[in-house]
Amino acid sequence: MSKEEKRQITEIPIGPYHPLQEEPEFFRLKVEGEKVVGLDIEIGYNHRGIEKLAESKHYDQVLFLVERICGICSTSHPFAYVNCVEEICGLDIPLRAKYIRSIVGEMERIHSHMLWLGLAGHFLGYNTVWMWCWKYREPLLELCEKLFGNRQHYAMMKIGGVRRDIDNAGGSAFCREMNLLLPKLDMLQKAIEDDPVLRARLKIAGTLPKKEAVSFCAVGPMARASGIDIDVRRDEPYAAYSMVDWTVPVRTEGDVYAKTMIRLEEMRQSVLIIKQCAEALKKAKGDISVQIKEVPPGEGIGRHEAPRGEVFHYIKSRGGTVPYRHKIRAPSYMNVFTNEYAVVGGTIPDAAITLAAVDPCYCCTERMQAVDGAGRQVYTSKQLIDICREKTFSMKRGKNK
Amino acid sequence: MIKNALKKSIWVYHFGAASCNNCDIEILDTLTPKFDAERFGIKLVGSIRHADCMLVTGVINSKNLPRLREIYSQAPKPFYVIAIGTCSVALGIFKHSYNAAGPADRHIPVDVYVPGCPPKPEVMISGIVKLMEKIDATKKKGVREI
Amino acid sequence: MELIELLEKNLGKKIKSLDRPREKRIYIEISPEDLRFAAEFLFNSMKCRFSTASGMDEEEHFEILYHFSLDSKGIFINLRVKTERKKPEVDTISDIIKGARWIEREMHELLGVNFKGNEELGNLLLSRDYRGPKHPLRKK
Repeated sequence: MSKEEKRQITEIPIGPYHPLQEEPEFFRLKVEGEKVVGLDIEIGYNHRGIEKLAESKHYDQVLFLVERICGICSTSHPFAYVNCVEEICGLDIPLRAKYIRSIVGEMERIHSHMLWLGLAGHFLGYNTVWMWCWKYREPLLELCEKLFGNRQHYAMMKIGGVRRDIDNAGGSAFCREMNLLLPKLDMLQKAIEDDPVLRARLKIAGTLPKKEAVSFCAVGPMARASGIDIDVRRDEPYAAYSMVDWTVPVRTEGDVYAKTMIRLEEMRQSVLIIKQCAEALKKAKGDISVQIKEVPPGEGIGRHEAPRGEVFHYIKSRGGTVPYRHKIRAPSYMNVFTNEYAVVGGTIPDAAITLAAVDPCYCCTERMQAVDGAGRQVYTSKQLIDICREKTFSMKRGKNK
Repeated sequence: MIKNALKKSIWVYHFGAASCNNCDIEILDTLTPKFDAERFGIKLVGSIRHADCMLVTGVINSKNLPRLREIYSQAPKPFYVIAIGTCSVALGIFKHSYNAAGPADRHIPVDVYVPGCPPKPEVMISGIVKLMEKIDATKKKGVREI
Repeated sequence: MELIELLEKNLGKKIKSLDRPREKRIYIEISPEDLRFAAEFLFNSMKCRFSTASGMDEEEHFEILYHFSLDSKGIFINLRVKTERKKPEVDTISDIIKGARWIEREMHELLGVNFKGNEELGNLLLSRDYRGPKHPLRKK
């Protein structure tokens, strides 16, 4: 690269502490004019040493620890964790617990996708979408609080089953809430499909082809939007997922629009799963958990399809009360990395929505150091939001001419 | 109490340290129609230079500590800090982590503590309103109490 | 048993031991020298997805488990590689599998394993100001 070419490249850091993304991580965009030519990713702002902490905590305490890996998908890590420990113990949990676990997992998926949808609307300048989506989340969170004990961090999972039961009235409350949710999902989908500017903005941004998604080992909606048909709930069924009817949505375009549509469809499938589980619960008799005396020596793998993709837990036990080694891999660990491909070649306004389309759960993952460059241009947070929105508004203006 | 609080509006800046994000989402939740923090005059701003108050969430670790100090130094004075959530108040379950650098008040002065995991939006608003009363009270006295 | 036959046929003598404690969990121990061959076979030929790798301090040696997922069958094929504690070193697989780049950096930082051929090993999670124990995932 010649000296002149070097001078023209400007670096724009987004974050940390950027209001577009509520979690701290650092993307350093290298820009030539309006085009993104390179991306450095730095994380590490969220590293809390959880794997090491787990080695000094009793198996029951580790449950509360892993729950706090991530607030939005706070059930996903306990879910994968209990699957892992129960594998080591060779334990099969009662039927009621299976249905309840699936209900909890799917409630989380709905509220997480709804949250993301709202944030995406916010980034693109559709604040009404943001307010609607977060408003629709509220009755779900209230229901969780009533039946699980908390709006988030429900602590419903327990090694051997679940901690709280859901009675018939609770099951009916879920069904009622799901029936109320369906027309809202239809409305949101229509709002996105019918707005040509929004469609256009989502379609040109952040395309990740299948070959790249495979190479980066992407998971979850990121992978399914690029044509990779994987879903832990179907590939290696656990809880009640093999006992109810549902499908895995897959698309091939790999752009942000595909990711959005997949998340909407997943919410619909979650509604189906919850309703069937709530119905089945009325007939399922028995306990909600089994006692375990101790975790024998051995190793186990536990997974759960979190809203963002496969959550992976591996534990090596040498007997005793604490895990010898606890490996945790969150889905964003694989997915955030795909930005190296998806963002480069696009423009600055599209970069913001592409980075957000990964639905990054940085509190699940951790990483890297960026290098300070010379000739750095920094946009303030307000300027970056304005750029992102201005593109939407100018596209609207162009359309109205 | 609400009459007094509405005499002044407060602009808050949110600093998320190593957070599980639950507190952060609940902070943003306070802006949604159900809780509507803006009716109390609470506004979330994107730059520390426009803020009267900083909400700190999450565990302070070796990587975000310098950023915390830098941001605090850029804040216009007088300036107030609210530690939101058990992590920033007292570390909680992350107390023995090799990467934890202590609760927020080890590094910057904290005026109001709102514990909880996460604290509900109503509690957070109540915490901010408490701060607004405190500010009002100290203004009348003519000194800023820490 | 078809899957096992396929693995034995292609990895042959490289398999030091094969353990199948559960139907969906296969653990194959291989030498560090054979890691690249095995990873390449699982990722490119068998189209397994690389899920992650778990590095651990087994006191007498270090052990790294590479977790590959055969999604079509819901089976995990785990490659177990042992390396000496004094100078823990393994070949990189990040050129074969892009998704392995970060986990190698993490294991290098938290455990102190060197990945030969990975040019990007350096601080990942911990800051330059970090004052805690070096390689915190090591057992004392």
